[in-house]
Amino acid sequence: MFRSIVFPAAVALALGTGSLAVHANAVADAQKMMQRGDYAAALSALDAQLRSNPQDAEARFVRGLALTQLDRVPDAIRAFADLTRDYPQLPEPYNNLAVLYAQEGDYEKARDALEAALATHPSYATAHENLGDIYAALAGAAYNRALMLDQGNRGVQQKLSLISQMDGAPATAAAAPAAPVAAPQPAAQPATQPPAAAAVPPPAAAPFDTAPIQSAVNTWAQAWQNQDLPAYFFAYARNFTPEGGLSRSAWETQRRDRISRPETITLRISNLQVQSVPGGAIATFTQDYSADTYSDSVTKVLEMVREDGNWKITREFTR
Amino acid sequence: MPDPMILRLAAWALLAVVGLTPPGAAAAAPLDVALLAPQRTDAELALNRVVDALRQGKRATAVRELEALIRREPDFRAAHWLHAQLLSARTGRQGILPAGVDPLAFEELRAELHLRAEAEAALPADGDVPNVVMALAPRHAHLIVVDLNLARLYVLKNDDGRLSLVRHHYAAIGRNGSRKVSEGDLRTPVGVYHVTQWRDGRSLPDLYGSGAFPVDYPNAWDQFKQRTGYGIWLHGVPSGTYTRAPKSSEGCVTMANDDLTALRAYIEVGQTPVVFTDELKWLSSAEAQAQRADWLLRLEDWREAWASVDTERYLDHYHPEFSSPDMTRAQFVAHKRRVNEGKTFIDVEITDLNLWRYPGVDQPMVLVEFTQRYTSNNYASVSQKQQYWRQMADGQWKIFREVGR
Repeated sequence: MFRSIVFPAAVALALGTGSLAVHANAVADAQKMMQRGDYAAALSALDAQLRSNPQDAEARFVRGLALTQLDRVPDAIRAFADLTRDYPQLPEPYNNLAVLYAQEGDYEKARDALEAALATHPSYATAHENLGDIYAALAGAAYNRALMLDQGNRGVQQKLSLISQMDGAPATAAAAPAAPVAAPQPAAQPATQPPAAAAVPPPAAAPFDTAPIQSAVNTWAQAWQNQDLPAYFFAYARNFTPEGGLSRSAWETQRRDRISRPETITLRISNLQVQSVPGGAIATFTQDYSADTYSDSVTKVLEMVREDGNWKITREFTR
Repeated sequence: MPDPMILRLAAWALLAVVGLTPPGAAAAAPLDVALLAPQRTDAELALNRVVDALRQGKRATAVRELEALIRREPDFRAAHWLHAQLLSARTGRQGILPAGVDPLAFEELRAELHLRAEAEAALPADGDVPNVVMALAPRHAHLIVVDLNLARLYVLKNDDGRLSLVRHHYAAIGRNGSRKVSEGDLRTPVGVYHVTQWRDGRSLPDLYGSGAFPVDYPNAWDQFKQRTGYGIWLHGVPSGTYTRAPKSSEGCVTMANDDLTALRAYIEVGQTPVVFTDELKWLSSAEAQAQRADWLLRLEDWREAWASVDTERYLDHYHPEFSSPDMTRAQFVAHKRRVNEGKTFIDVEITDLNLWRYPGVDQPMVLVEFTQRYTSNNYASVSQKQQYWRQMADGQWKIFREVGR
């Protein structure tokens, strides 16, 4: 979803070259094709126009929109980035560049682009709105990093506004910004208008990596075997709930006693299986324990979550 | 043949009283402290620049510095939190926190930043001396002091008794704070310890990070106080972690792996004292020198009484509740009276003197450590001695406990 979609019915641009009629036709034709959803044809028309008139800023801008619709995001980024380089005084290419960076998850670049847009046009409402969204997204990501939550889950689906028209275009690349030429506003928007850019597909879920969990289970077992109490308790999450209604402190006292009392402890883990579950993981394995005069073999289940960047145990029981 | 480098306490005391440096230190020119700024990690310096920029209202600079810091130290959670706060403020909107996140989850990150800033503001002036030490023997090339309140570890260099700050950094402590008493109380002990070992992180569980320096808790005083527990270490942090929350360990002192590794340059196993204190103050060198002079005189009075075979004046230095690991006060008094009867002369030399204003005690206490060379007409010995002096209600200092090593 995009907050505001404005499609020009026609955009008159003051161009320094003599080919005004050709330009106006080419760009207007391309825009009609895009309104019909024929982005590939629009792109061909714009490419043809740019072959004869490579500096046509409006054509380049609309080409960037067509590429966006065709989901050719890197090419669209290049198109808008080139425009910001050649026409740094125009805010719209910066805004669209920012929207694309945000879709790619690169919120810092998106922010920089929007700030550049606002540097030339401080009252540019769309860029302000988008920048607020970008900052919120950046803050959300930073909060997640502060909690060491999963980095792969971007969570924040941005709804930024792509600008589909330039209010003013340069007379020539080198000229000072021309006084913005007010583009005739469309009288009414067609109800069936296509969105300016396709909805951003959600990022593909990263394959579940069991290695850190296996490693955490082994570290836990090793700490137990070594009777290393700090390392053993470190393996448990802050909200670990002991089985059987035992309080956390009663459980700790009991574990402290049972782990430190034997002369030696041997702990073997086999058949370790790790499953991904919402919010965490479950490790199941065979646990062979022997200490001084006692030994047993059980199927142990550890429910684990990521906490402070480490996999920690929230529940522990035998099956 | 007496070693010319061995200094008699009498000489030290007199020189200190008239404001001169002891002969051992006379050769060392006053250090140009300004040229020896304490060593810091880039991350701590960068965080300082962020805080300075914020204090000056330069938010853009602060964010830029912070983002550079986060790129270098992506596991620095407190920095991420600060970043999130600055970005949230920039939106001018409410409710930026990700759904389902408890704002209290950030409390320990806020506490870490707060303590870091507080410690930076409380840094000692050049030449200031921590109140825990009044004299440090030259054989201890460095001293480590951990301020358990401010979560900061200081490394001081010892140039023949003259201390200068060479490094300091954030260091986190036990979940329940300071003053460890018993096993499992999740507290960091308060007292004077020594590093006993270096353990490389590669041979330890991930919890310990780049390595560990175990210390000798429970020490002689802890044992006298019947404190229990073991395994108090200075150590690093697990992978994926930059630093741990201010109160997060089972009693160990943890620090960034780079900071832990940097300590290797200063720590000499068996020699480097580590003081854990929750009462750290910094004294001017004049104050410190005055206190030290007081103590040198007091100690000289004890030594001189003994060397003069003035047994009753010597015994008068001992507290009414004095004990040693193998004698009560009465046994000690009887023993000294009997032994001294056979003496025609006694000579006592004291070297390697350490004077600790012992932290974490209910009554003022000073730990005096030295090498004692005892010579007499019928017996001679060299020993390492620890004396715990306590202040009586009348203000007098007496030896409460004496431990030979």
